[in-house]
Amino acid sequence: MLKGVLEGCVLEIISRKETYGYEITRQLNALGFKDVVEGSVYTILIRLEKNKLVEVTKKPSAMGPPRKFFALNDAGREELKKFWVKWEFVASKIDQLKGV
Amino acid sequence: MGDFFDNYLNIKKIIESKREYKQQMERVAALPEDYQYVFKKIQGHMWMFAAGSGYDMMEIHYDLIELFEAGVADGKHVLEITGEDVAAFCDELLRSASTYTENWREALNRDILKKLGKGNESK
Repeated sequence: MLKGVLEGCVLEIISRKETYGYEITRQLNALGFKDVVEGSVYTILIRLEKNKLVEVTKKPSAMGPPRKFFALNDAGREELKKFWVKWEFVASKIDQLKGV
Repeated sequence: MGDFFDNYLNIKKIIESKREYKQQMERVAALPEDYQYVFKKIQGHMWMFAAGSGYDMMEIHYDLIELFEAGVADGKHVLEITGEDVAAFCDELLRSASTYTENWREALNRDILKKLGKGNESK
């Protein structure tokens, strides 16, 4: 269920500030999506990068290899806008179906 | 066509990519055993779907090494990174690579659209 909307969630989180995979995962976990693992966020980030929706900067980290930081570009912001429009549509239709 | 020669008959590129592959596999060999096992399993699984030259598949695997190295540095278990459904993790990764199955899907839609698609008179 979550799978389809996870990409939108990741776009929304990146839109707020430049961030990296693990931080995004932790935010989603803190939000209550307990079973979202770093790998799922990682595959989304790769796709966003491939579809040129994000700007990627490599920054050194305290431990381990340099980390990739992600920021939305104009195409990414456009995609996020589209996601929320689609989400509103789906959410309103589901509510309708449920009889709210 | 340019792509074809660039990917298949380019000796310099082949040698360069072999050298890079060797370097990357040395990084894999430096990972803890659990990570190595999972990496090799993922690699083997994903190659079964590879289409074309496979250079894009290699890139995905090299990126994955970086993710795993970061996981090791954070002291995580490898399954905390991939999740226990490693096959699902691979499926998602495969969406960024060119695969046989993707080519077949495209061919299916293309063939049918060509025969029955809009602007075509046949009913």
